[in-house]
Order: sequence, then C-alpha cells, then structure tokens
Amino acid sequence: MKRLLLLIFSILAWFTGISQAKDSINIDSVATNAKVRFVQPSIVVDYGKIIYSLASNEDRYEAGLHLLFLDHYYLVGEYGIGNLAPENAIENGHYKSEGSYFRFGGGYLATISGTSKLGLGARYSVCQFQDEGTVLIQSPSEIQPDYERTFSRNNLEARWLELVLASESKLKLNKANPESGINQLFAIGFQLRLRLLSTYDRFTPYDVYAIPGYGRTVSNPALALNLIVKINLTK
Amino acid sequence: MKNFTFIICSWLLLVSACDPCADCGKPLVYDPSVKMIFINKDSADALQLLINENSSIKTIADSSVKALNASITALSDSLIVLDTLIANGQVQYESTRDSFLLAISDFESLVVANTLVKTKIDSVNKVFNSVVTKINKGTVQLLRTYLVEETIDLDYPDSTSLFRLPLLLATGQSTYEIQIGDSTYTIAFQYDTYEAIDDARIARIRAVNLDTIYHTFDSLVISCQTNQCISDETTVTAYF
Repeated sequence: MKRLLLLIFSILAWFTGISQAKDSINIDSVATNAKVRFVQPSIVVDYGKIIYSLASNEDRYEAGLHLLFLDHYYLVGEYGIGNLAPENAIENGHYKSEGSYFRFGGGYLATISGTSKLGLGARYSVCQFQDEGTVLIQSPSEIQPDYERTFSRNNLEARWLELVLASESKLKLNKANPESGINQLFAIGFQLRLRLLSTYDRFTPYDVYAIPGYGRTVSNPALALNLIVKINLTK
Repeated sequence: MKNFTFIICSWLLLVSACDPCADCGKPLVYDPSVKMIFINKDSADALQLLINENSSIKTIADSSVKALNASITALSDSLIVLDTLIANGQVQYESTRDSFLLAISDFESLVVANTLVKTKIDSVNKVFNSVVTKINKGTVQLLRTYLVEETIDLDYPDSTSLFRLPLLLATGQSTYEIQIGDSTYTIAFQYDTYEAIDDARIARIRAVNLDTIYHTFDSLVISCQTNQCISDETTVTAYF
C-alpha cells in the first residue's frame, strides 16, 4: 500500500514538475539580464524525502542553507533527521535507526542556460544516531523456549564524504509577467550523490545496518538521488 | 521535460530498489543441530565374517572342481587304454574298467555338487553384501530419542541414514538416550553458543566447539568442516 502511495505521489510530482519545467524555458531573457550578485542565499528542501516519509513507515526530512557566490561558487550546510526502519535489516526480527545529521561543503555551479545550472560539489557529513533491534528464533522441535533478543545502542556516530552532481532549473510561477520577482524565487532540481562511508561505530554480531542521512552500511560506496526545491532568499 | 522524466524515474528506481521481503519480521524456525549417523558395526562385522568364510568355502569348492576334473580326465585317458586291452582279449581288466567308470560318474556328480555350492555361495554373499552396504550406510530406525535435560521424547518415525539432533541453547550441553532395536545408547554433547547474522540477513544461534563428553556406543567418529566444529556442519558417526 505504501509503495502505491509513493508511486501516486511521484506521478503527481512528475506532472507538476513537467509543467513547471516547460514554463521555465520561456524566461531565459529574464535570467540572462540579471546582474551578478556577490552572494545569493537560498533554502534547499528535499521534497523527495517528504514524499517518501508520507508514503512509508519511515521519517526522513532534510533542508539546507545554500550560499551562492558570484553566480557560480557555493557553500552549503544541510541538516536532516531520519527515523529508518529497513525491513530487511534482520530478516527474522526488527531494526530501527534514528538520529540527525549535518553536512557541509561546497562546489561549483555552471550555467547551462538562462534557467538551468549544473554543478559538482563535495560534502562532509556527520551523523549522531541510535539504533535498536530484535532477533526472533522459534524452536521447531519445541525442546526449548522461543528465543528473543533485543539490543539497543545509543550515542552512535558516523562520518562520510559525498560527491554531489547537482542540477536545477528556475520555476516560472507568474506566466503573465516573466520579469516578476516570484519567477526568481523557486528552482527545482536533483542532486545525485556518491557517498563514501568513512567511519561508524561497529558492533558484532549485529552491526549498525542503517545510518540516517547515509543509508545502509552494507552499501559502500552508496548512490543516492535527492529531489530538491530551492527557495531564493534575495529578490 | 526529458530531464525531469529521467530524474523522477531514477528516483523511483532508487527508492524502490530495496523491496521489503515478504517474510521479514517473522521468527526464524530453527534449532542448532548435530547430524548423526548410526552404523550397526557388530552386525556388519558378523556378516562380513560370514561373507569371508563363504568365500573361503567357495575357493575350496573351486579347487575341488579343478582336482575332480583333472581326475576325470586322467581316468578317461586310462579307460581308453583299458578298452584297447580288453578288445585285444585281456578280459581280466573289465572289472577295473567298471571301477573307473563308477569313479568317473561319482567324480562328475561331485563336480556338479561343488559347482552348485559355488553358485549358492555367490548368491548368498550377494545378499549379505547388500545388507552390509545398507548397514554401513546407516539406515536405521530410532525407536526412542529422549533428551535427558528437558525430559522430552523427540519423534523420528521413519528409517533413515541421517538424523539431526537439536541442541539446547541455554545449557551448553545436550544428552540423548537413543534406542535402536533392543539396545539403548547414551550420548552427551558439550558446546559453546554464539550468535551470527549471515549475508541473507538471517540471525541464528549456533553451537561451536562441539564435542562429546560421554557416550555408550562402541566408537564415534566426529567430522567437522572447520576446526571450530560448528553445529549444522558437524556429523557424528556412531558405531554400535
């Protein structure tokens, strides 16, 4: 059911995005005429995580502050929280991982057209989290009681690096007036991330399986795709 | 538009990549166990002795047949000489010729009898060998399998050659009393336990350093796949 909801949300986002992206093509002249600013702050929200959180039993939210210098160079700080419950972490049990993380880094954004940019950057990430799990074993011979073991670990930390390929396009919300300020307010795009896990607290026999902001520890390096909306804080 | 379609499709692919498994969250139905093979060595040895004795008798019968055939040939050659002498008028050899004919007839009967003995020994040994093979394979029926620590009887209704005896997790020791035929045998296992999760993300408790501390079988052979002697991988062959 939750997979179906996820699909419906994604299709809605798809149609919305298509119409917005289509409109954004018409405002090249506005963008090209804009003067270069020293710094342009903006808020970045990962709406893909919001959709996923609404459609699944996990909670993932992430936002960041983006500072663009001279239209090309940027510094970024990102903060997120995650409450992960991967069902296949322990096949005969349950696992949950919960915590918050932040990333900081920077990169370069190249202008592809008047409305679109493509960038490459890097992030350093730190996550503070806790996890817990349960293992269930049932005796088929009934010579012994069923086995249930729970474990819980607090104050865990993980660190990783990310290489980020980013793309964004401005949204034209005021079609009647292409030069309107609101057309400079929003941009949508994606960030393709290659995550390289550096360190995390390890345990035996049940190692940390999922890290908020990183994903599954069994995948290293890990690939992730974020869908973002960027809100420009300057006019 | 194409870019956006690509992004959405990629995102859907990524978030759907780890489909939850259908059985996740359900308990694993599992006991760590030791594999056991029971071989009735006394019966196998007794049968093997019979087979060897039969083979010796067959060898003797074979030698007798050869000796008898040689005697028959020699007597037959002598008969030719005797027949020539009698034909030439020396009738005093007639009684000797009759004795030779009787002897040849008796020897031929002995050859037939010895050949029959050889055939019978072959068929009996064939049956005995198949029984020995079956015994060595370990096909037996456990009439009773009693776990002493928990005072529980385990049910193994079918005859088979490999039995999996579950091991207790709490005590580190499992003692079984096993009835085969009219005899009851005891075997006690000692081990440590450890937890592990495999690549398929299935968590198990296993016994390690598995060994026997007591048994009443004639002898035991413990086969471990590694030097740690881990449950499920270890086979104990009991000779009784």
